[in-house]
Amino acid sequence: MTPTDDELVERISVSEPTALAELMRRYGPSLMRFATHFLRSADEADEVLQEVFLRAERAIRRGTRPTRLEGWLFRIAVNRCRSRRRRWWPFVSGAVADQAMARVATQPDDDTMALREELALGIAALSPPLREAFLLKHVEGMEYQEISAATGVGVSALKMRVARACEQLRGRLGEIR
Amino acid sequence: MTDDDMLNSDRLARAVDAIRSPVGIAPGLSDRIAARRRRESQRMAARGGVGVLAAIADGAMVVLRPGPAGERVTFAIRAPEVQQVALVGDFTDWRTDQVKLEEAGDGEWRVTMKLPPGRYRFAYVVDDGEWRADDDAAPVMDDFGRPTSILTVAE
Repeated sequence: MTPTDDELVERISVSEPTALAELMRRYGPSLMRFATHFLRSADEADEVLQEVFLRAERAIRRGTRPTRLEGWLFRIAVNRCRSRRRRWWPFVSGAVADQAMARVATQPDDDTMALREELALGIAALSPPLREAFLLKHVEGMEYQEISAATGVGVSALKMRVARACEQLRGRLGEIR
Repeated sequence: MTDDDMLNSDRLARAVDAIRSPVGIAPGLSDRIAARRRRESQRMAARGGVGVLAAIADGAMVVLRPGPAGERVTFAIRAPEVQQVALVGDFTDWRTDQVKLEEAGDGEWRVTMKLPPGRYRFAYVVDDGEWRADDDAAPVMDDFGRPTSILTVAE
């Protein structure tokens, strides 16, 4: 039977061998997706993923009991991504098929692939605050209150950032035919 | 405009659907985490060499136990992409011109200073004015929504 998040946390706290692996299986994919799109580097995203699970494990074993596990993991991930943030891709090229994108599980048709690549470029061109807010809201599907808890940014400011990000992305996607 | 309306330019909505596809994780993540755990343990031991016996991240709080040399505390953050890092806290009156960190190699910035036992709130301010919490603790937001960390220097 699949453990609940709370049960999983308890198992990690007593160093049950399979518990951390289950945590990675459950939340690794969404954290990896966020970090990859945010950092535009599979290698950097993998490093973030390692840091997130290591810090989470350490905190749980020392008594932390997050009230909402996924949001707590994203909070750590956002912090780690910000720390690793580079000077942002000033030169966005057409070569978006990096290592992470090559590992995408599904094989969409050409039009969908073109849209996805164009959006990936558009996201990469957003300023970091807009990118962060857009990814958490529309790609990860988080509520504004959750994003606020993860980022430390107020809800009204987040809504404004997401709206501006959408506006910029719509403009970009409107350019391809 | 609702959240959904924002995506209702169809191309954007379709593109977002497409980008929600899973991004694969390279095999061996558990092994990489184990290797990182070992490296961080070694680094923690190295910190002890400058007077800090242990730095314990407990959720949002960092607890530092001063070493035998006195109340010397090492602050460190990994930030390879920045040009300068300042330490701010209630012990600097939140001024950015009081304590600067020095580059210690491999993208890490460090400063060691004396702090008497007590509870402190602090943050790192990188060159463009961005506030960052300590690497070893989840951020605690201040009244202005900026990430900070809580430090307890034990008796």
